[in-house]
Amino acid sequence: MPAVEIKPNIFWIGVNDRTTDLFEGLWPVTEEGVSYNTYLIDDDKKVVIDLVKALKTDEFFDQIDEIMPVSSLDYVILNHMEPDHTGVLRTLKRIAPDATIVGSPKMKQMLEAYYGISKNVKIVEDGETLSIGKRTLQFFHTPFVHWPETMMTYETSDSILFACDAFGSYGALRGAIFDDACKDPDFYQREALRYYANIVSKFSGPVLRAIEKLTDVDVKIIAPSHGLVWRKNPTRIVELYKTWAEYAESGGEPGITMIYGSMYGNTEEMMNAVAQGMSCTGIDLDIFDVSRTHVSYILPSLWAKSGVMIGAPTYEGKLFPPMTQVLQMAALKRVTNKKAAYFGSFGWSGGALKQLNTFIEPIKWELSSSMEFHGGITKERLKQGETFGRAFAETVLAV
Amino acid sequence: MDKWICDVCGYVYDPEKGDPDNGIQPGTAFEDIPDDWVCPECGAGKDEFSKA
Repeated sequence: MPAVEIKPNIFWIGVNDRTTDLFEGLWPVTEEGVSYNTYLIDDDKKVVIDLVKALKTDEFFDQIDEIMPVSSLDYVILNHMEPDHTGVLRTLKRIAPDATIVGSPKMKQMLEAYYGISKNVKIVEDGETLSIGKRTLQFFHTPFVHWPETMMTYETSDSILFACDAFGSYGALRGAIFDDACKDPDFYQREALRYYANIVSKFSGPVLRAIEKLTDVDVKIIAPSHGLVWRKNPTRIVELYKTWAEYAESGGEPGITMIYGSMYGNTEEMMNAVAQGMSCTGIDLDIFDVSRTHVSYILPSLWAKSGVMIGAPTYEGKLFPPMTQVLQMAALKRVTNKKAAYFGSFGWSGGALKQLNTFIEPIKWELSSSMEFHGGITKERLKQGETFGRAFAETVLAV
Repeated sequence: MDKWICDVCGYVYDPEKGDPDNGIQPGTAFEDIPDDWVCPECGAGKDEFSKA
């Protein structure tokens, strides 16, 4: 996409990625795409802030060349070392060997580990400023939003915060890069939550500390490394991130994510009865078949809703394996402090519930009720399932 | 005394070394660290740690 001037001599020069199927090798973005936003400042010193994945390299360097020769770059600011923001670094160093790489002390170690680069590196401390001519940049260390070396770069005269992964979202840009030009804000909000629950959620504490640290910084434009640039309403995305980060402690908004899996349809039939019981209360309910839905799309619902209904059969004495995978990912992403309930069929011995407890205890999911049943479905059992669902929904709503 | 690991960032609290920069003397068991102590790497609270 051609460069966009966001303020005099400050340019967005990102690239859209619509060819990567799995972001981080894990998260589907085939349909949504993702953007790697990069920014160029043409002052007395020539500065690029963050880079792109080693993909569309020609397009990226062409965009810089439209404005200035790549070889004239003085500073390459790396807010974050993850290769989706540094992949073209080696190529850049071949073209501009004298450019100084700027980052946090931890970034210096990672730079050597990832790229073998140790010369022409400038370490900046928390709060340090760097004059680049008419403009001045200030650096804020924000460790673990998303890796330990992460920092944010703040342009002081137009009050632009280059936030890197913070305040980002999935979703390739559809021509328009600004929030006020975006005609489908619901898409980007949904994809920002999915991105948060997939990439950032584990680091919710560090997110809140970063937001707190920036409280007194006047920010007029939020320019993240993925997704929209927020200039009309920059507080909107900060508020969303703050709300989501607080879910780690609060457990989320009243609502239920029902995750289920079924081998021969018994647990599934029960699932529909449980859903009927829950829906009688009017509760907000999402339902996912864990065998068929990528966990990337389940995590945002789990993150945002305070209740989890788990439906899965016993499989060879243990919990149905696709459910195990979802719960392990939820634990890794620190989806904590939920109200939970369990139901599922077993053939000869139970076992699913016992194993389930070992997964959910460490992440503080409080199991309020459970219903294991032997074999298939009867009319009476479906009735029980409905009552069971309704009672759990009432528990979730009562908090 | 057990080592404890931060679930957020992977920092390992080693009771033999303590965390002297933050007032935790060497030889302090994890259980005896004050509740308001946080992970020196990422700031996570004590309840975000698991036994290593």
